[in-house]
Amino acid sequence: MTDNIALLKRAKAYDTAALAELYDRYAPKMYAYIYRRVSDAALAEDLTSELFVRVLRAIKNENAWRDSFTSWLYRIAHNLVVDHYRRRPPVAPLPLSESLMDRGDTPAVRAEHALAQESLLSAIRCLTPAQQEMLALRFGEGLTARETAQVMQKTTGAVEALQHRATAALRRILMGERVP
Amino acid sequence: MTTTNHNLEYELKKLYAQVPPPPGNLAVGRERLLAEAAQLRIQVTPLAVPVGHAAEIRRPRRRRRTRLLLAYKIIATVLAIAIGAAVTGGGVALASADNLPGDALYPVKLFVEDIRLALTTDPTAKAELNLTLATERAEEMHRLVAHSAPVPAAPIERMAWHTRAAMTYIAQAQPEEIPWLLLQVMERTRTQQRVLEQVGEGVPEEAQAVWRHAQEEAKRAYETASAAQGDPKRFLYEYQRRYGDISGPQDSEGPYGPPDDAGPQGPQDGEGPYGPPDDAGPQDPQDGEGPYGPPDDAGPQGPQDGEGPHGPQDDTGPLGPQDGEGPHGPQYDPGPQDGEGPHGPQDDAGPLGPQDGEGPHGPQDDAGPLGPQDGEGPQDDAGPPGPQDGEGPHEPQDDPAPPGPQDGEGPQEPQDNAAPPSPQDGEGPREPQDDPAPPGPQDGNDSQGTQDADSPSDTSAGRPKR
Repeated sequence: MTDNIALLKRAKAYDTAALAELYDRYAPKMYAYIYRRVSDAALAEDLTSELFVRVLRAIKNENAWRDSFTSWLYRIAHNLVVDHYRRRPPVAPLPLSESLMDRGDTPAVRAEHALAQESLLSAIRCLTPAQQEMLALRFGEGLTARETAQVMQKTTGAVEALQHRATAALRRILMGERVP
Repeated sequence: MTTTNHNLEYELKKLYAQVPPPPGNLAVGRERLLAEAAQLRIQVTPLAVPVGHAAEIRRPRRRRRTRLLLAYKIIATVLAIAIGAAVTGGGVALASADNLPGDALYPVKLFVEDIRLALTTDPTAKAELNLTLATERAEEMHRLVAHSAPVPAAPIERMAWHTRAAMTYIAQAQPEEIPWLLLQVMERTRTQQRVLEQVGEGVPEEAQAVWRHAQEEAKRAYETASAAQGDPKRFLYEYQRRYGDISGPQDSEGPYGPPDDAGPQGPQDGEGPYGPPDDAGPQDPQDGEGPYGPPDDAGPQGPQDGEGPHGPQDDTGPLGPQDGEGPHGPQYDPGPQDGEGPHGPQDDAGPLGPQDGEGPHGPQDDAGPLGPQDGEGPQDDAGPPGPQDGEGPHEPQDDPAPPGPQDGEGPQEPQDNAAPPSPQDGEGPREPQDDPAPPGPQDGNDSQGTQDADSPSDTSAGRPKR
């Protein structure tokens, strides 16, 4: 993070090399994060591109990233995802029961696994944006509760509570589907 | 699926671990970011320069520009009106940036562009304007294709010519301006290549050669810019390697030259003419170029290199600094020299003198534009043509106009001189850019202008999450 400061200073002056380096350093990470939120590679790539343009435009405002550049990136990414879905609501997830019925009897273990993942994904999409953000940060990005709290600008306790509610909701959704 | 917390977390991690590689390898975002930064840098750059230096240099220039613009607008207005009347039988038709090749007012649009080029003196501004105009040609082609209309050779030729001129001017630009100019080159020539491909089948037989040439030109510019990787020194190396000696370019120009004249606008031709004819008298050198063209070709660049030209300009004072000719000089040497020749003359021409002094411009100035600027003198001339409205210039006037001017009748004379120059390299013209205002409108496209405006804004990025 320390050498980031020099890099960010140069980026503030729109230094091409610095910006290119920032991009190369963070774009893959942010792409992965956004992908975890939208499950669409092409869309994730577009949003990543948009993310960096926003960063560029806001980078002059030091307050925005003084604390943690990475946290700031995650926040912008989250806003992008939310904005995106506000403009274009996500396609309603396939009702789990239906998807289960359709393919529930697939014999192959792999297919079952895929099904489980799909069910989980569909369940996640039913959560609130904040819950989804928290899950992606905690389990996708591997952040600690404290780091997640920093990104989400909440207290650690609030994040833990959010996590508790999210997992409970997931369980409920999955169980509900499973056991009609 | 298991629902214990432990298993759920495990499943979540497994799910989130599956991230496919980005389909575009994130390349588009990178380019977009850098291009955007280049635009933002334009706004910031002046501040980055020693304030005193910038202030000294810019100030005078602005004033002059404003005057130039005013004169230019007046002339353009008069021309537009006259032409409009002639063409529509009394009605007032203003050409607009929407004109396409084949439209009655299209030549007027080109004429206006040439004036802008002629009025632009700074290499960076000229390079930008040329890039903008090349893009404008690409857009025209795109629209023609969209309408299933055949794409004539003129815009294609002109696009190639603008692209090459842009590269030549970039080679003369201040080193610190080069990186973002190159980014623009990459972005715009890629668009050009795409459009040329689209145009592909719509190109009539006789335009095939021009079309191929334009493709090569776009490709070469793109490759040169991308090989330079934003490094000014490397760019100069790549530039010399790919564009070779002057001759190389010239050749190309050859084509260009023609384009201008010939091509695009019949009317223009006129211009070409303008220059030549009238000019001829005055500036022999130009003649060569006459129409820019051909001669120029050599010329054009020459001019560009022109630093020579600049040189003169610089003299002028205002630019001088900017041009930084000093700096450039060296760089360009190659090219310029040739060019200069032409310019030189122009300057000599004396007429120019007035304008800015810039050599190149000089001529221009002389030519109409300046004239006007300076005094009404031009205007007078203009008078006849008159019509233009502010914007006028571009659009409106129909062919007639252009020619008219070109012909150089009264006003023209001045113009003529001027004209020629512009076309040639289009060097001059730039102005627009510089002058924010006037040009602005015209181009409209200039991205930069626009950019400036907004860029800063989005703070939203930072906005707290909800």
